Amino acid sequence: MRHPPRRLAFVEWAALLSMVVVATAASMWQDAGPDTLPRHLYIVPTVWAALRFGLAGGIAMASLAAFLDAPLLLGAIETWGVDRGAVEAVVTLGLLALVGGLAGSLADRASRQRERYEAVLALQRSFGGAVPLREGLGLTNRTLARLLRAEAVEVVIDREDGTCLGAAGPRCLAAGAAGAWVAAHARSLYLRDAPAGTVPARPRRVLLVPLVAGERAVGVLAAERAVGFSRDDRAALETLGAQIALALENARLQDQLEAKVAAATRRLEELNRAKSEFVSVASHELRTPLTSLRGFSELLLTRRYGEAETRRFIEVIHAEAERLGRILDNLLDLARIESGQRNEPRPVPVSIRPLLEAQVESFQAQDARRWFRIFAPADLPRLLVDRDAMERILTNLISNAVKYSPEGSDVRLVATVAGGMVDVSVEDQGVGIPEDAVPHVFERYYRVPRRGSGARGLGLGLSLVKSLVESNGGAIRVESSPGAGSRFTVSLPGVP
Amino acid sequence: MPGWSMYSSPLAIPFDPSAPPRQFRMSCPVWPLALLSGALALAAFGAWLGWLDPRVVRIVAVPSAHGTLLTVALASADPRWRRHAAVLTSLLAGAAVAARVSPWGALAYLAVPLALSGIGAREPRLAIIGLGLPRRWRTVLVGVAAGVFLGGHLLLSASRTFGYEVRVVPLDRYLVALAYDVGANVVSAECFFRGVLFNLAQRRWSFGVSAALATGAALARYLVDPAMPRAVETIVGAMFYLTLENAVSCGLFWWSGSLLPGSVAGLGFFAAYRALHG
Repeated sequence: MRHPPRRLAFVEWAALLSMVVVATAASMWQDAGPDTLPRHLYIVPTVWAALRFGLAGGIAMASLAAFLDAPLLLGAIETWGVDRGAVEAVVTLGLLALVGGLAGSLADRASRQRERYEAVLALQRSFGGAVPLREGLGLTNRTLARLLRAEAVEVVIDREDGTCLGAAGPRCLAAGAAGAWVAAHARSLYLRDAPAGTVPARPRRVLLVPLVAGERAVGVLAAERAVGFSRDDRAALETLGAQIALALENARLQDQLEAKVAAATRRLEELNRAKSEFVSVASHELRTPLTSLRGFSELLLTRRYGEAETRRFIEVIHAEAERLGRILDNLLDLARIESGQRNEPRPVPVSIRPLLEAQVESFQAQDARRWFRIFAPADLPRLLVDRDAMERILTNLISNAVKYSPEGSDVRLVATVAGGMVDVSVEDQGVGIPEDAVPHVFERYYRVPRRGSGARGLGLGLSLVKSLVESNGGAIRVESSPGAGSRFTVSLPGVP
Repeated sequence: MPGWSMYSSPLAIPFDPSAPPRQFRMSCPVWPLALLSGALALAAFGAWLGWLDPRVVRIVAVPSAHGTLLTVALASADPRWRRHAAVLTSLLAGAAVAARVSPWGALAYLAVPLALSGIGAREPRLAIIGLGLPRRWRTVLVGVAAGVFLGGHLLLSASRTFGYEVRVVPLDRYLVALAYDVGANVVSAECFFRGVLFNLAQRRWSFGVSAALATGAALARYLVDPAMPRAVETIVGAMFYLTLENAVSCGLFWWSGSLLPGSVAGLGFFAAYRALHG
């Protein structure tokens, strides 16, 4: 019940008391008989007190009327016995108490409805703004304790990551505790006589309500009050629990959305940075062979050289043209992959050993400063892959090995059988890959940061290799030891 | 605040769905109650046969009736109730005898609340039936005010309308009656009707229902009391005041968690009641 200001309440009580005294005086003036009409005047201050001060006010005013009237009524009974008038007077006083109680109850109920409405608004304010969740919980506890006139209100949120959050900090619900039962069963629990109350002679009334969002209890609201919780109170608290759960769910979804947007923004920034870097590197990578082509072709056009010199220049032009072709192939593949127009692989039985030997022959012809070795058993089953894709996979992996390994080192090509798959590994004795870079080497545009290394690339090769391997039903993995070398292993299906 | 630190958080209260928590149960020990009622029945039977003086029945009735109420109260709260119940019943019997021997012997009734206070101070478990100090001392002041108000209203009504005379003489008779109220009547009523019945009811139902039950039981106890005047108008008045006195005591017990404020209110009322002569 919302009480009026103290000064106004005092004036009202004085007026009410005066009315009761006047009604009693009027009864006395009517010769103190049991059937005095002025006794009915008690109804006015009683209903007034009930409407203004609730149940307590109505009952107090009815009791006061009964006290003041009792000497008159009992005296009348003493004089005339328990006659019809006495019974009527007793009934009148009884009805007075009934009306005071009912009017007070209705006033209290209306007041509680308003308080619940205010509580809902307060909850929406607690969770709706930019207030952090923990502070919002503290605000909720205080608001509900004030509005419910509860001795204690506590809310614990069960977060998705397995941790809990309450206004007093992280504290999860202990197994076997009432809170844990309510959270597990998503059902309200009213304990009329809970243990360890502050006053042993008075029962401890505790109501626990699950905060259900969807089908899951995201937390528990507990309230403790000495006067207990009526059926209406319990229904109201369950409604408040649903409101809190909804507000929490909204707050959680908003947090989740903000986190996703932040992650996507970060990712876009990274991609943008990588693309900028890619454009810069690609320009350089394209310019280098073009410069060679232009320089050597100009030399051939403007001067005369011997046959051996001319042939060497043409070989350089041919090698740079090949290099330019590979770069453009990679760029075209990338464009196709990004636009979703990747060529469907056409798997055919392919013998891996001749393929490895052809690759070694080609690389050895270009690079006599490294040793290329093949380790493959003679009875190796054939692969069921797209031949072109397989050639490009090997070319990329071997050229990477060449690029990052020192002169005079070995590049080993190893083929083994593992189940129904054939593992083809390319091992080098180069600089290796730092541990923190290993998970990223197959990402598009990613280039391993290497201090002092002259090797450059577009960051596309391994990404394309992975894409080609997977499109042929295989998998690729990498093992590396910085300073000792790397091993890229491709697992591809063999012919059944 | 015993036990408060254990489960101060309502969320941490232990809960077993197969055994809902219940902190208080009424206990009615059969053999002691049979012994007390058997003694009263034997005395009444002896008096009916003419073998015993009716005054002996009245002497036996005091420890039997009030001892029963106190025994049930102690047995409901304290596992070591036997010794305490025996001591209190013995004190009641001794006081009843002493009051018959000499009016000043009624002062022996005062030993009962003193002994009960000592037991309450030694046994913290008895706080569950209100045998402890109130949380707030102003509840005692409210109890005094309620007792004075009810008693004053009774005196006013009875003297102005019923024509009863208000006087505390002869003093010896007044003191005997008052000592009986202090040591037996009020103490046992508070222990049983508030400490046990109301206490038990309030753990299941609302305050209003519990107070109505405890008050109804207390009224029934006075209605069957042979010492109660039988005139209709007196019974109506007595019911009116006893209803209010018991309802007030229930409220004070709930508010303070102690039997002391309600006992004080009851004593204030009975002090006025004993001053009526007519």
